[in-house]
Amino acid sequence: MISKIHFRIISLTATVILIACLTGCKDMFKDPMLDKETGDKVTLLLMDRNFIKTKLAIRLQDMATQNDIDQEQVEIRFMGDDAANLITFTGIKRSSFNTSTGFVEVGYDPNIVINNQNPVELTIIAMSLNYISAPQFVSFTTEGIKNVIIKMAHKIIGKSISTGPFGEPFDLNYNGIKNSDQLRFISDIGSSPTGTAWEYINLYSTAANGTLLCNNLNDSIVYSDYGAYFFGLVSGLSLVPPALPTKNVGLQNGDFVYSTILRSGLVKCDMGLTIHAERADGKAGTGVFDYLITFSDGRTKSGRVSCTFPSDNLIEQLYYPASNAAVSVELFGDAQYDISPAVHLLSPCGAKANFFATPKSNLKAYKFITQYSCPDSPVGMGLTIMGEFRKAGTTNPWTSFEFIEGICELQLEPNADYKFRVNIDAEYYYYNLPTDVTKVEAFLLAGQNEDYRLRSLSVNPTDTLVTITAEIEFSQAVCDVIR
Amino acid sequence: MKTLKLVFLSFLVSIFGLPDLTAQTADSAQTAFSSGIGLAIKASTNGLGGDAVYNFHKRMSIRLGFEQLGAKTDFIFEENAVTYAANVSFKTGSISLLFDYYLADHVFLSAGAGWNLFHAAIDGEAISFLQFGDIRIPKEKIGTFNFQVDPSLKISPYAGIGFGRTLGLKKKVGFAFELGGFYQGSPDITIISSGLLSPTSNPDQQQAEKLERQINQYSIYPVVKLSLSYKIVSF
Repeated sequence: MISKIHFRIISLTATVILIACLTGCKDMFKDPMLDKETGDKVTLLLMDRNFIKTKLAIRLQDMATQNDIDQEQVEIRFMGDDAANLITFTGIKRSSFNTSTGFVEVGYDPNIVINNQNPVELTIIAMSLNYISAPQFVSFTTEGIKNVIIKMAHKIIGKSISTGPFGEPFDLNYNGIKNSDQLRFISDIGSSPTGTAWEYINLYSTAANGTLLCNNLNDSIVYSDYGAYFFGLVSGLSLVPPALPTKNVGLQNGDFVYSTILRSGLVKCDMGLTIHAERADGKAGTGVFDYLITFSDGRTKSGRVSCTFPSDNLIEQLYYPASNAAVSVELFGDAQYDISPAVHLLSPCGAKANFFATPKSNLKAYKFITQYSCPDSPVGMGLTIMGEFRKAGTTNPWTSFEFIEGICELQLEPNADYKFRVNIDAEYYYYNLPTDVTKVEAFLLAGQNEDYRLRSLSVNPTDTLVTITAEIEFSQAVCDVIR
Repeated sequence: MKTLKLVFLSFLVSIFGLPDLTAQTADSAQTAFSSGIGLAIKASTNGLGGDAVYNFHKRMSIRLGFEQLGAKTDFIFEENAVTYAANVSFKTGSISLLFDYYLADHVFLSAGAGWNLFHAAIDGEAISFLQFGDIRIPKEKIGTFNFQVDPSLKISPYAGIGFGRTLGLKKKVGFAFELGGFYQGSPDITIISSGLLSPTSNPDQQQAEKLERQINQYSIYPVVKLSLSYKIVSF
């Protein structure tokens, strides 16, 4: 038998439990699709707007100074069948792009399969009021970011070729005259790759209509073939790699002539060389690193690879001496990472050069986790986009990085101010960010404007990592543009 | 809310206003009570099912029961110029062991625990292409998504208050109305996504955790239950 007092205690306990249950239920009727803190519509799905898996990151450099050509409008023209598959940041098909920033990012139609049987093949030439590049052939069989540096020669018409052969290993005749003064030297373009086994020597410009004739190769042991490519801004006629150069062609006044030779004994490496890079500690990170491949005959091939650790980049269009296939591969660090020493390989063909990246000792990891959304939309975006940064107030070289699905981890100096920029359709957009964790939140909140606002922001510092998480809501006007 | 107030008031009256009466009726019924085992069918917000009831004391009984309920519906929505086909499905129910304590002949408190069968899912996929400038992204590349919601406590404590009898006191047939809830903890969300929707399930984006915060108020699964029992054996 349960006593009255026990009965009341049990009853009271039950009442308390019931009240607790009822209190706990009070939020049950709140709309879970509205953010509890902000009242904004909750983002359910995150979409990666990076449907474009293959991009050409094209950087324009002055051949003489190595500086970016960012002071004048440059047209970058693509030739070849695959030029029809190139798109802008907003998906518009184009085969010609303009930039005055020294950089342009060109997308490749993601519906086109890229593989060994169907490689992307393009020839790129850049031109502006004061500069012209040599046509550069690029070919790749894998998706990914392809960094291409286009070296441009200043179009100051120099001495007549009649003043000297300018290192040509064969005779250049124009209108029947060897070293004619109607074929004017502009620049040594030996540092510009053709993208094939051929090598450029010099760039000329014609001063009259006429016929170009190449003959009398002076060293048929070192060189197996020779000739010239040409590009006519006015005439619209051109002969560019990967076609074979010509030895005899009619040209018009103002056409550009690119003399070229083919060394003997070179073999193409069809399988390419893979540059593998990862963090020595296995952690995440992103960087863009210059590489240099040195062949046994002293020739070099240089370029740039984008790495999101761990990453593999296939370097294609390699031509090595048949007599000795050995190569040395170097990968150079940037503002974030030191890279392990050069790798020596018996052959580049199908080989992998492994490198380890180690964060510089004075830096700390900052992880940015971002998602973007539009008003009243349950679908957000995790952007994949390339960018660059450097310490604010300096003229240090820009360091490249990549956001993937809205996430990026960078090695930055604590308590410093950084400047970031992203290039969208050949236009730079700049942002500042302090790395002092006590300032970040206030700084970002103060930066809100009519184009975007922060739905949420958190800064979580630990001893080794600062994680900055932001949900950004674009204005309807910005969303209309993005869509 | 009005209903809740009424229930709460009747509960207070039942425990503070009726103890003497309870004692009285208990005394008078003392001789009439006999232990028994019976079966019950039940319909509740937690599903349809049945209980095996053992009424071993005039004020106490235990129930071992099973109940389950499921539903599924399809829907279509469009976002960012992409049409998605989705379906939401949920299953609820439990295998429970409950102890009933009768405050009065026809008012009881229940407590126990159940193996919580609650599971909700939203599946979807793009059914239209995405026009992006001059190119079209096929629906297969846009991808699929799957959200699954499960209780964080699979063994969920239960508490409730009931009116009537889970097994007839004097008669073979008993009827009970019960209000209660399973404490299932803050629901866990699992997300699987593919294609361009893959950031949704990227752990770094913490999308599951964000959505879990949005629904953490649903830690109690409310139960409103009607049961009809039949005493099979008396002893």
